[in-house]
Amino acid sequence: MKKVLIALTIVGSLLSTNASAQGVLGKLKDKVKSSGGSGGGSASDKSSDGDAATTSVTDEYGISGVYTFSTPMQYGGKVQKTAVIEFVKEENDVIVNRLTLTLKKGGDKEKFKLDEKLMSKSKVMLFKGGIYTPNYTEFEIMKLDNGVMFLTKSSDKGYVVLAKNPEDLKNWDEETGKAKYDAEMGKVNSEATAGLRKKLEEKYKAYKENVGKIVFAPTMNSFQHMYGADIAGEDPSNFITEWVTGSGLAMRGYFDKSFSTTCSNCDKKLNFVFEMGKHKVDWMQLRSSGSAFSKMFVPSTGSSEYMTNGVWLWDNMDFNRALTMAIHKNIVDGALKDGGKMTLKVTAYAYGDKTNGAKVAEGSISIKLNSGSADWTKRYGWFKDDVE
Amino acid sequence: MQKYIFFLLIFIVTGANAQYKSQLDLISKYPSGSYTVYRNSGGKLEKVAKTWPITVNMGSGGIVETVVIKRSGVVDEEFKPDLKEQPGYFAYGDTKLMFLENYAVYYKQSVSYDGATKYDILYEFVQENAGSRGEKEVEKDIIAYRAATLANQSGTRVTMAKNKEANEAKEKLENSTKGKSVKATKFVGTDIPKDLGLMSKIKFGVIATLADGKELKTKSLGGKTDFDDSYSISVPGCTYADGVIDVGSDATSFPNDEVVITIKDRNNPSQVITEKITLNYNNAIALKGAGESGSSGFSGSSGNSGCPPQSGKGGSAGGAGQSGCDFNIKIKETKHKITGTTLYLVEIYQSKVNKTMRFKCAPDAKLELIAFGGGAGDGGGGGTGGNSLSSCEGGGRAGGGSGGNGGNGGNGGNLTITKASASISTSFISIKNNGGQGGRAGKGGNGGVSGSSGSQGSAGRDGTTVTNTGTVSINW
Repeated sequence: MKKVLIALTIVGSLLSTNASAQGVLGKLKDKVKSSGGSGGGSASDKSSDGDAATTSVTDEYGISGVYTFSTPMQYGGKVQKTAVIEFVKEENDVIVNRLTLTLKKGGDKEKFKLDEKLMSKSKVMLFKGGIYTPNYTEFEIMKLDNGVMFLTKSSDKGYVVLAKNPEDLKNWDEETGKAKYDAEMGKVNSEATAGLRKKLEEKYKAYKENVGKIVFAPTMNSFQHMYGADIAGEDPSNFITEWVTGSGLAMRGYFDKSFSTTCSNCDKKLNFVFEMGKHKVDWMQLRSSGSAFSKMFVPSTGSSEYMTNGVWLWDNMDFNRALTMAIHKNIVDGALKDGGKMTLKVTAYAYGDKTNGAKVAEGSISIKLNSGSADWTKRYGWFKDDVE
Repeated sequence: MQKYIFFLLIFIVTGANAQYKSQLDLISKYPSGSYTVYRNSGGKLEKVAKTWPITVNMGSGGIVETVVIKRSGVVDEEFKPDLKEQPGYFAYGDTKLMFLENYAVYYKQSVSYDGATKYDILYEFVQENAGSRGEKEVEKDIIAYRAATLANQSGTRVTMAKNKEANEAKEKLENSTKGKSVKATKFVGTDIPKDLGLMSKIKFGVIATLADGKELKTKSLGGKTDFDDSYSISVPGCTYADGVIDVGSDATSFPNDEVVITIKDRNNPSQVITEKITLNYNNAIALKGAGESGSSGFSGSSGNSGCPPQSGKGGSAGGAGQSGCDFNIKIKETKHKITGTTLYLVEIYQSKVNKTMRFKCAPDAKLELIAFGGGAGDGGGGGTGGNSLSSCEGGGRAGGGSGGNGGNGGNGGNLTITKASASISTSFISIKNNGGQGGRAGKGGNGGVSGSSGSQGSAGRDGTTVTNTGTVSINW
């Protein structure tokens, strides 16, 4: 057990970050070279310092076999140049699609499972699994070519290539492996995004009825935004068309096109422009206009492609300065009086390089000024202290 | 520090723009061909075995259309300029490529929630066999070049923003009724529920027919006319925005049992239309008056180790759930003003908030009254007892703190229904007024002697419902 823990810790550190992964790999390379070894190794090198595992398992995809690492790994205190990968499709008449990675003869078999959806939809063989390093950490193994596999940590940048024939490592060096992996995952992601819009329309009434729109609700709890990407289980009957100042207000936008298609280099960032009467207030411009506004958060779609997160505008904790500025300007010029109503239009833009890009959603709400609301009076007073 | 300030002053005085070179200037140093690649390995840029082909595709007038990097000679990645006339970088998905004086950098840029920008440098490209710049220096170069670029591009971006705004204004005007002769205005319902009553939503659009026969449709009908720009819309008793009407909750606002929508063309004052939509009050309505849940008790803190060790503190009690609202309901029959069908006038007084609601319901509709008692909070767990230090005489461990008691559940609200005649069936009313659950007992903390557990809170009493027949005075 102790041995296993040491080994897993090393695998984790090899692949946990670029620093630890490639830095440690580099040092190991030097060590191997100084002791007469070679980075890529050859068929006769397979014994290495450590005891290499072997296998007699075969499979229909030709995956199972002994693989040489592009960069040797340290395992159980010894330099290990090879590992065994075994793939089992079926076991006792049950489809299991299990891949195991064994670093040392008699060592633990780290288990990975074929992502069958990717295999059937995109013809990409990707195996997902985890290793205790010592905490459970997710890894992926992708088949790059016959006899060539790519091992990477799911959430980070460490990676190595494994090849049955060490000669293949000349063509499939680590950067080539990484390029192919990125290209395959890019293909998979764009295929997934392509079908997503239709699914969202089928699944979520709130999305289907409001594509291209921004909707408003009395609280953030009205939106089902915090449970993951592209989830819109909110009940549209909770959406409101009028806001009385001082009560709760939140909003959410639903997009027609995937955000990455609209702006691939916006890092999922958005901007909102509030338009009321003659006045326009740009959230990000206001944010950069002075210290009173610099703490406003940068709006983002989060991990969603087709919708914003819920965006609070007024709640029992805080209030949005851009919204309040739009109202303030109309109070100052006399357009909005106590008990009066005005329409607020909110437009969401993709935002990159400090510039508003394409419009992604828009919506309107009627705003009724209730100067008597204690919550409004108190906060509007603070706001005026900041701007006047 | 002084040295840093000196260089900063030099930079400010001479100005970044004086030395600024656009990507179009810099890329001229990078003809299409193979380049040596350095890969970022944990902050150290390490040379990659293969060179990678880079192809610069020029357009007319010295514009760069695309830059194609063949990663490892295997995968093509096509980078496009951020601003064609004045590029500050080239982008492929979320990856960016920037050409600098002696190298090009391939990186990702991210902006955090609080606005901080992070540069994640992945590769550096240099002329064959030239050396690497190093991660920290590359990051500094990107930041400096980005700042200079944004300053340099500002004029172009302002012009682009103005053009975009002008185009939007032009499109808005083209689709507005402003300056156009409108001969007819038409209301088009896009979503009018079959069961329509108080608190329903009505969605609609407007079509303006111009003198030349051309139609201008609002966005809700697939057109581009902005509601607020072209129309003034009033709907008494309702709230309205952007083609959506929320029917209000007060039945007295609809004396004729219909929603009256008045649409005025802001730009053609003679164009005023009124649309009346009959309410059948068949929709379901819910009135919420459940008691709030009690908060959970805090766990007791652990006792400090020492000589002698301290006992764990007791957990606090869970908060009690609040009682549900009491509803006093009066029901009287009436007739629909338009259809003549039987309706119920329902007046509900909520004593807790001193508020009276006035509903109309069809006998087959559903009126849900929610008056649950709030669930109670659980008691906090007791803190663990501290350990005695090895130097202590006798040793041992102090006792754990007692668990807090669970709170008591709130009582369900009591309902009194008075109906004007025995023939009125109250089956359209659905009542939920169960008492709230009691909070769970907090567990005693571990220790030399474990703390005692708190006690389970008691459940709230279910609310009562009393139905009478008698005189009902409803004057609306």
